[in-house]
Amino acid sequence: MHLQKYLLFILLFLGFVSCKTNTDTQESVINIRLKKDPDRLNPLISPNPISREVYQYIHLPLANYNPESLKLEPVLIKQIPAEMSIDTGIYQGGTAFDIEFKDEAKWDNGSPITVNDYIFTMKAINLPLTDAGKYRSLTENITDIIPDPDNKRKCRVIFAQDYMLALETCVNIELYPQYFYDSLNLLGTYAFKDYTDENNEQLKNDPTLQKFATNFNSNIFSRDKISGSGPYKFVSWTANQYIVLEKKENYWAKKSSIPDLMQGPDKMIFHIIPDEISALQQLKEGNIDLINEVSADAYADLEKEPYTKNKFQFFHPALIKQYYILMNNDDEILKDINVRKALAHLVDIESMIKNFEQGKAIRTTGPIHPLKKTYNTSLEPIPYNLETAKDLLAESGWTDSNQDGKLDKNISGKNKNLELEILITGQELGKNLALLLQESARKIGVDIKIIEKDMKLIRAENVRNRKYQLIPSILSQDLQTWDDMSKWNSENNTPDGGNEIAYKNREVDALINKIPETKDEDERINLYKNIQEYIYNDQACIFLYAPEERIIISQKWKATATARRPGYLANTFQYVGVTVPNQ
Amino acid sequence: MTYFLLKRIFLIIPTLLLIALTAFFLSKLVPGDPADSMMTLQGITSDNPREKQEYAKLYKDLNLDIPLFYCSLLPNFYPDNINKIIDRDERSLTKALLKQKVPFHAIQNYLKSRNIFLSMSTQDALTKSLWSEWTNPIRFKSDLNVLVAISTKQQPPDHQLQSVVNQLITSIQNMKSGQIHFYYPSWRWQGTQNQFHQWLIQIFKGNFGISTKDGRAVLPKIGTAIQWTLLLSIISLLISLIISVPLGLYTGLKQGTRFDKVNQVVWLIFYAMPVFWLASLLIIYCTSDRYGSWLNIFQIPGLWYIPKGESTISAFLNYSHQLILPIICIVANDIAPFSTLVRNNVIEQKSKPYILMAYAKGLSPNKILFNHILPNVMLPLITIIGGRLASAMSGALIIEVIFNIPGMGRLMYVSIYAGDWNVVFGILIVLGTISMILLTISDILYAWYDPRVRSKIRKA
Repeated sequence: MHLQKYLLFILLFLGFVSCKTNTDTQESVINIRLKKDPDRLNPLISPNPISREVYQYIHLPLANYNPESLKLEPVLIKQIPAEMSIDTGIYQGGTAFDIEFKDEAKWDNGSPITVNDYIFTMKAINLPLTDAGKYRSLTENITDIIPDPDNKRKCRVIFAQDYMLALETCVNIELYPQYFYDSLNLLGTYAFKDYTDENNEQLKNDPTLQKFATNFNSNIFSRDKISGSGPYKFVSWTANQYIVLEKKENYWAKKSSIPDLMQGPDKMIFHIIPDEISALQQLKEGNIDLINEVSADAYADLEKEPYTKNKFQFFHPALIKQYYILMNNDDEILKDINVRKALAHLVDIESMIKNFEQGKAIRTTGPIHPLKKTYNTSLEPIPYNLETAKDLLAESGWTDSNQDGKLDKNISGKNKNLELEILITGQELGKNLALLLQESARKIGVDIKIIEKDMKLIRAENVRNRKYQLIPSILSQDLQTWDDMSKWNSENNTPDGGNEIAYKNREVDALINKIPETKDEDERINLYKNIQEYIYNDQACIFLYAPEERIIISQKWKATATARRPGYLANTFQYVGVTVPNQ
Repeated sequence: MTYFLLKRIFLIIPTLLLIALTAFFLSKLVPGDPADSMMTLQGITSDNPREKQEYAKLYKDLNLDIPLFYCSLLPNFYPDNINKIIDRDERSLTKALLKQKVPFHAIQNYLKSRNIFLSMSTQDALTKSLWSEWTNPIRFKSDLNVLVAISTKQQPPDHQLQSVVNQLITSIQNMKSGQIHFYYPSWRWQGTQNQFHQWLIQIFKGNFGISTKDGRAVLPKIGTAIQWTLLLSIISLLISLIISVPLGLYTGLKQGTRFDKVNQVVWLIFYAMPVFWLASLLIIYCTSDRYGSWLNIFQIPGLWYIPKGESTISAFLNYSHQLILPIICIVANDIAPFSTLVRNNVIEQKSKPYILMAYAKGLSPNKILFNHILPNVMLPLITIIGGRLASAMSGALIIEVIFNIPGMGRLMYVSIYAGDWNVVFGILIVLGTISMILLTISDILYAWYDPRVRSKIRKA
């Protein structure tokens, strides 16, 4: 019985200590909710949005997009380099950029940021053994990097071939400190020029480089030891629980007004809370200061609710991505432009924006984001109109000939009903969209079958073989001015190619190929607009809308939002300490 | 007893091998290509110009180019190792044509002439437009009859490609004419240079591969998660037993009283209540002032941050705050089955002759309860506790997701959702092993505790 009494006492004690206590809220510590654990805090090998939400304060690129103007602005370098044509020498016909790092720019150990760090970063990307495959396709265009013999902060970057994204490749890649990531100078065995595809086998089999790559790809440099030129230093990361960053003392850019270099809260704590109900409860209780990617309904509720509306700031900046429906242009039925156009008239996009996004989205008409200057504003959104859809289908011979309420057509002597399939994954939005489309189509006698499948299976079994009809999807883009349009080029209509809708238009191919050689900005913008017009007229896909981010931030912080991912820059926030009492 | 122990332990080995074999083949059946998953981790998408090269590198790095198992039983016209074909497109086309009973050498010839044709017919705008009717089906179609139909199509007036096209047509016709009608299964020995063998060696070394979600090694990832699940399940199981055993004993003795009836109804309500609902109710009503400050009893779960330099007591308090609500939910769900089991056993035991005998001998009710009824009631509980602990190792999925506990349930859920199969099958093996050990321990305990079983073992 003594044991039972003892256990009962422990139970009561545990219950007692587990009850509510007052939590200390520290000034100048911002608590941010992360939806999931980031993969790795190593931008070169893990360039995904969740990781970026944290590493953007640790690792900085040479230049970045201003969160307000969205224009490329210098961060670690003195100015954005101008493109220079090379008229003489071995690289004649190519282009060059002169890069000069700021005199005051320093690493955490006090050593200056130099061209050596830049060359090291580029070598780390080009080394075929590292996991930086995403960037290799960009940096392989750099032919050489020539350091200035008189100035260790200056160099010339050479592109022997004309390359459209040359400037972004030079300056929009996060810079790594060589002293930290390669203290033994293992990559110094070879010159930058040697890191090419031709030397692939030699590089792969070099034990020194293998040693470097193993370390660089490992968790040591992704989760334990992380250092960069940003205003915050990495403190700790407890998997699936939290990540802590702290303001650097004696930071070289302490007084800078450049957003990426600014220092705001003393500490940033990223709490990993996957469940939205728990996260919102923490927000309401003041334990979390910032939450993004809030579901549309929860955002609208909190914005209206008297208990919360005065306690928080609500932001909905644009997101540089859009939703669209892939249509297989090679499919027997969808080959017909009238059928594609009719389907576009069957999607009630306005209603989708109102119901799924609570009105927070922008309609789109082409593959470019509406915030960009290359977006063709002259193209009218396709209205939801069942009658027009019916007429278009009738033009192509799809009529209700046997009066059974379903559209049919005589194909090779057989009467065939108009039946289509839409492939969806488990995503809520895709499901709702498919149901909406199915309902509209049913009204005019078109059967749309909804098939739910794993995304990987859809890619492997349907997209790669072009054995599908309709798939709702996301078109993600970057902030760069000149979008890569190769997705719309018929040359990329291969199983491994990006042209997943089998879109073919010779004029569009010619325009896409003309973009890199067109140097005049206005002329180039026109090319983009013309491409959009062709795609619009061909109704290659059904472009739906660009959603907006939904961010809620405590009134404690003077904060702004931006269209640059993840929608906010916590280092620019200022603590104002406004407290609104609970109702 | 030693023989019994050895027998039980020895049985673990083949069971574990069977689990490993199942996990491996299940991992091969799940959708998707591991090399593709690694490319996603590295942010390489289909519009990346280096996609093919990066895929080939990862495919080889992951040992996907070697045979699957020590042996294979395939139709005689199949190649020894189809995985040797690194190009995804060529590999899937080969598989599709093999299914149509086309011999492998004919497929190889076709692939060769197909590649030449595709590269030459798309080399410039002019040839591309001339051959557009041919290139797409040749590129995407794998149905032999469709390919034959294309090869009989009218050719565009382009004499430059004449020999290439002739070669292509011949290769298609050869495939058609070479189609096999009769074949026999052929047994092939693949040696130890196979995927299962290499995988098993790595498993024995404790290397379960890396997570395709975050690049972390699988085993430490599982290790971190299992700590939380262990903590949660052991504490909640202990509390459940502390409450339900005395409750069961008491209600068993007081069978049919008002307390017995009310007690049963109350715990059955908690048992019937979905855990996610109870959890959400507790979070919404008992963690904020919104519904009255008197209800604001608990901390909101989900924040695990412990500032540097915090004392152990403070860390302990923080964890207690975080764990109390999930423990309440689990315990509320567990008490009904545990206490009912004890109650029913007490009812059964107390009417048995040996208890009547004990009463007749003048033993006190407490002595009868603790010295005679309780040991017999504990027997079925041991079996249930063993199974319960083994199943708890897989984590209480809903509890862990709602209360943001980074345990096994949440890890499993997140990994399945992300298609991180290395972690999923790693968990399968780890849990299989733990369950085996726990069930063996429970068997041994049962044998040790129950004199009837002990004597049976001795006799055997």
